[in-house]
Amino acid sequence: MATLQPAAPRPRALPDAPGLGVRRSMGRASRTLMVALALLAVGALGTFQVLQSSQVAGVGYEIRALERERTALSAAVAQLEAQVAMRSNLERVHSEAVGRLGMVRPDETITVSVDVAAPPVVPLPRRYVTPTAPTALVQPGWLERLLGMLPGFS
Amino acid sequence: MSPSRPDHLTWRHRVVIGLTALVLVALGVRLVQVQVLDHNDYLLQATRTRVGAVDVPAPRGAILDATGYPLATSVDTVDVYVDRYLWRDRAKAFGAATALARMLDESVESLMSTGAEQDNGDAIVRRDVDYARGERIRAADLWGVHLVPSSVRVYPEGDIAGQLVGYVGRDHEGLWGIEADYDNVLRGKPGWISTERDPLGRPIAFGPRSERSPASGGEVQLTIDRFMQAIVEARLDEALQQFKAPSGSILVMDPKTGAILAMASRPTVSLSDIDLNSSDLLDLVRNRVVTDLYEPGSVLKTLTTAAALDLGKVTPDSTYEDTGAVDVGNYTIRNWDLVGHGVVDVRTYLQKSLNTGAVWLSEELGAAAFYAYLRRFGIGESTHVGLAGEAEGLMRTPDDPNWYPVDLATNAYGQGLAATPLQVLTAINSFATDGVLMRPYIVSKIVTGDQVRVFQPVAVRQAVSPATAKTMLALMRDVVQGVPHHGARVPGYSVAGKTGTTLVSIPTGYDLDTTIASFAGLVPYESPAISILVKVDQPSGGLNLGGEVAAPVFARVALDLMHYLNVAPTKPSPAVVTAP
Repeated sequence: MATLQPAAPRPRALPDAPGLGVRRSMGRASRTLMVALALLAVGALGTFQVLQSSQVAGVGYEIRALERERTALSAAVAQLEAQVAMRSNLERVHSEAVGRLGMVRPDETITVSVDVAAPPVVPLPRRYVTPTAPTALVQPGWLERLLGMLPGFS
Repeated sequence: MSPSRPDHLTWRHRVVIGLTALVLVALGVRLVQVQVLDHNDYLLQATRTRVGAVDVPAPRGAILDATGYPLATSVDTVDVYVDRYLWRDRAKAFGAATALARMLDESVESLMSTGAEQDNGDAIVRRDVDYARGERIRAADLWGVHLVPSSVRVYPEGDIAGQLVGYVGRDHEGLWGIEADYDNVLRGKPGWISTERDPLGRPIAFGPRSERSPASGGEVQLTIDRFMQAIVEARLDEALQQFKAPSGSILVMDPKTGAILAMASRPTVSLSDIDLNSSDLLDLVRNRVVTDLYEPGSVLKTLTTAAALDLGKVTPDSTYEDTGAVDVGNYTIRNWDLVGHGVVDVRTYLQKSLNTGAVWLSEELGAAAFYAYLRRFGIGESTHVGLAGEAEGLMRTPDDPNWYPVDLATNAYGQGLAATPLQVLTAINSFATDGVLMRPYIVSKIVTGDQVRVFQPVAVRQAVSPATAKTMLALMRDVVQGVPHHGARVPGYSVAGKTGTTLVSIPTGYDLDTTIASFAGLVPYESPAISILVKVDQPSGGLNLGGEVAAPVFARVALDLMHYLNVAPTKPSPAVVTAP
């Protein structure tokens, strides 16, 4: 016959050395923290990488768009230059002078002699668009200015 | 274990293992070859398959006149192509054709038939579409439609200086004139853009990309002034019409520097309406001022006289007895008017343009000195003006086996030798520069990128002494100003010049009925601002002498140019008043 034996008392845990349990729980907590921090760092790095890549891609796209715009503007400038030149074509100027303004050739040209030096002759038109150095449209930010002060970053 | 199976490797096993090992080794070797040894080649092939490069044409540089006005410039355009392979999808092709037809003012049927001619390959549907319209087509992103950057050459001043400026062919290469002679400067360096592409050849937005920007062509600035060129061309056309002449030339230079200010020849080419397949194109595009030789006739008497003066053989007052004809060997040389003028001095011989006087001076000089002086004046040698096709001239000297003593006599009055109008006027110019022969030039500046090359006047040599040059200029002034009603007189200005009339040479000798009438002169005499040579070939209608045909044309051109250049009159004239 089976008899119920009182359950053997669970061996009581020996008391730890003073402070040992605290250290264990603290070690576990710090490991968790470390892992969490590491995961956070990895996540942050990944996010940073993604953000940077997308920013680079965005800037690259913007550069291409600006390049296309520059090409289109250059083409427009060349087109306008040609138009200006064609509008100052001698034949057109003559026909405008005669047809629209009613000018006629003089029967006689009178030359008036004056005691003053002639002004410098500037036969028009001059070259229409003189290439100029590009001017910065946007002021550099504090980071650019700071980097600009460092050697090799100018 | 079955007794029939041996427990060791038989020869069959060894063969199988050996073959397998061999195959594996062969695979390994091939792998090494593909992945290591030929790595770069395969990488390149793979890159070529998915990366497409587009050439970016370099903008062709402009040709500017002396005032900076573009005589030739380029405008960006695009050529529109359709991809026939993609247009096999007729539904999508129809949609694209409908949109494209609207943008190009073209019929849909025409576009569809162009796109359906073959199953593959690109078909061009329109060349030289203006850039803005091209951008609209690009933005529409039409199925199977792609654009290739191009450019078109425009000539804002129309047909002016067509022979000199030249023309550019479909391949953007200069065909003649400055466009051809300075093609290497004007054409620039094309660039390219290399991008990763999808199977339809469209660039992948964020794929790898490399590019080389095109380097724009340089700009060539000429010494030609378009206002002066227009005046000269108008006057030349007028003269050819008046004297019913088939051809002619006018050349205007700055005698002090040798800069060519205007240069016109007829017949000429029309740049705005050109037929590149025309059989007479080569005849029309020839810049006759530098390519064609002619016998300068009496204009050359100035050089003969200068040589005799320079060597001290004569002075302006030296005389000879003119009987109207002189015998040289078996030949008799006569004056143009067949008249003897008695005792004649050097000044009068030039004024009356007597052939006997030129023969007299040539005998005084002797052959060696005479030809040496002609060489010093640049006759018989290239001027190195920098234009293609320049003729050197024809001049026999005593060293040539077919030279005869009579050649000295005829050469002295400008027959029997040939020079270009440019050589003749360059030689005459030396009288305005104290006897220094200046090299003619037509390009004043070349700008490529940030490099600027400026061409300065070049003194070739001292042809005659300053005193001789001054005397010659005065004698030439007397030729015009000393003869009443001379055709070359310009109201308000003193002119120094000389007429020339030559018979046209034909294979059997000379055609006695046709002449080349010319006049070369400097104005104003006191300080020559310009020199002009007018040459009218085979004038008809009763007038055929240089003094009758070319001199009045010179006067008209000179007056127009004096007004344009604001040169103060040097002589009293009713048209000149003094401000109070």
